[in-house]
Amino acid sequence: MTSTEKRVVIPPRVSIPIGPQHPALKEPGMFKLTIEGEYIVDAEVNIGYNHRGVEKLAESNTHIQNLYLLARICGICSATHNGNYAQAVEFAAEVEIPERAKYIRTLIWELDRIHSHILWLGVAFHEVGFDTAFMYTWRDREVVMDMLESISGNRVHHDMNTVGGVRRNVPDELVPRLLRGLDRLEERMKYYRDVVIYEKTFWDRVAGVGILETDVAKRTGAVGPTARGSNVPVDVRFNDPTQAYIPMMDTGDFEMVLSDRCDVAGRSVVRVVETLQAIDMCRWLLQNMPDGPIRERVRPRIQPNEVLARHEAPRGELIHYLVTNGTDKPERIKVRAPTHANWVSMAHTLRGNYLADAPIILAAIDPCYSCTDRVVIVDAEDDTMELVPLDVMRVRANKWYKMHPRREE
Amino acid sequence: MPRLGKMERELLRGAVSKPATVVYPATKRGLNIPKGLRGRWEYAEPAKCTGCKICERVCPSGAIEMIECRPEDVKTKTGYRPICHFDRCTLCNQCVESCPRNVLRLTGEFEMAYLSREDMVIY
Repeated sequence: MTSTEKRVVIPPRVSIPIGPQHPALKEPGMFKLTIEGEYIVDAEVNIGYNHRGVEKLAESNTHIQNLYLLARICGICSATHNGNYAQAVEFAAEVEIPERAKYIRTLIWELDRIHSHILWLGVAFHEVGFDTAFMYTWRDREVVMDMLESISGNRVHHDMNTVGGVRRNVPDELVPRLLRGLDRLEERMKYYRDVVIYEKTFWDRVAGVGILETDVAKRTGAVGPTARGSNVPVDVRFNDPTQAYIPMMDTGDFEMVLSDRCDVAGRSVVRVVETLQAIDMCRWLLQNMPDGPIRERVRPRIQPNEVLARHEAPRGELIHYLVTNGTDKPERIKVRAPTHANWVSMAHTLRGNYLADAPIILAAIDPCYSCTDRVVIVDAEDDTMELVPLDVMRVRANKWYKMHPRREE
Repeated sequence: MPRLGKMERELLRGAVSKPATVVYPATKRGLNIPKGLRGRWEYAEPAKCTGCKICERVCPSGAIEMIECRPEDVKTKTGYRPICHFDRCTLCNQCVESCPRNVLRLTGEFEMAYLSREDMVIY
């Protein structure tokens, strides 16, 4: 080329679908990224591959059966769904559960948070290509998995809660072992906190990546560590405590973990520090656990009522909305899982980043696809976002198929 | 000498320590099976069973079926006894808890791979 004219090269816009089966994450979710060169200019999140009709099925089950059904919404945060549903039914029945049951329930929730956050840390290391640390974190996660197994009898689905309390006691001879396990976890987590902050292999990949500004996080309704990593103080444990969180927060020893970095590094630091805090909470719960019964008999028929139960799951605020009708089955149960609230903010976060950073940005909200069953549609033309519930989707689909018949008749 | 970063010491220690994993089918040592593990379903005490069908009603996954007592079974009061279709069982322990006479049990057995569904019906 001999021309002296300055050439402006505009890279073509290419649309790259990641998923539904993709290398970054182990669950089905489809992300349509529009890229210019290496930059992501637009992102569209398509989820709903895992819709299983759990809410509809729950309407034909009794409350006791629903405890096990809802625990299986998500494998990682099974204790939160299980405990929060039990809590919702107790709210509806207006019964107070024994103090010891509250402590055990909270203990399981916090142990669940430790294991979920360590799991996320390993996945984050894996997504940035730091597999060594991934394997070491998961090795040490076994400590908390063994603790949960020895309390509840199952590694993944603890199923500790029942309507009116918990099903198993934490025997006194187990407490020293749990405390020893917590000591070991604390030592390891302090080390991983240093790895996250001082290890360049990880830090350089996450610092400044996936910026989610505080006002955007508030506007898009981000929850959990995603919001707290953007300096939005939302944490149900502190804002609206239930169960044994009430006496725990009254001590004033615990403070909400916040970060003002607003990037993936901020979210990582929040999660790591929160794990250390959860270890302290577990220790506090074990040391202050009162004696007494662990369950209260509740009649299977629950009076007509309408309640909303909230709980801070490892990924953010989990909401169970329950309508009871006087029988032993729920009239309606609606689950708003935390990942669902984080999709909208994530579509914003992806824009302006490199394509190579997409996996870690996707992983940074700790997505749990099993928890979500709706669709977020982001319009590339006018930057609007729309949450589409399934029934609207169905109406649209019917309309579309009417206009586009599959075969001529 | 180039440093390996924050993980240097951990990596060097890992090179000489023994593996964290268990060579499972060859050995079961180091698996740490807890006492209260929820494992294989068992019709532990047939003599106590009345055939009241509560276990069938509470089962969240429809795994328990009440069949008429066969000649080799202990005759229950109503003439029915539970069997477990173990392929459907989610090991939630609710049948054990709801049983008024402690007939059922989840044992600590965890090796539960079978080749056909017929093998998974527990009498």
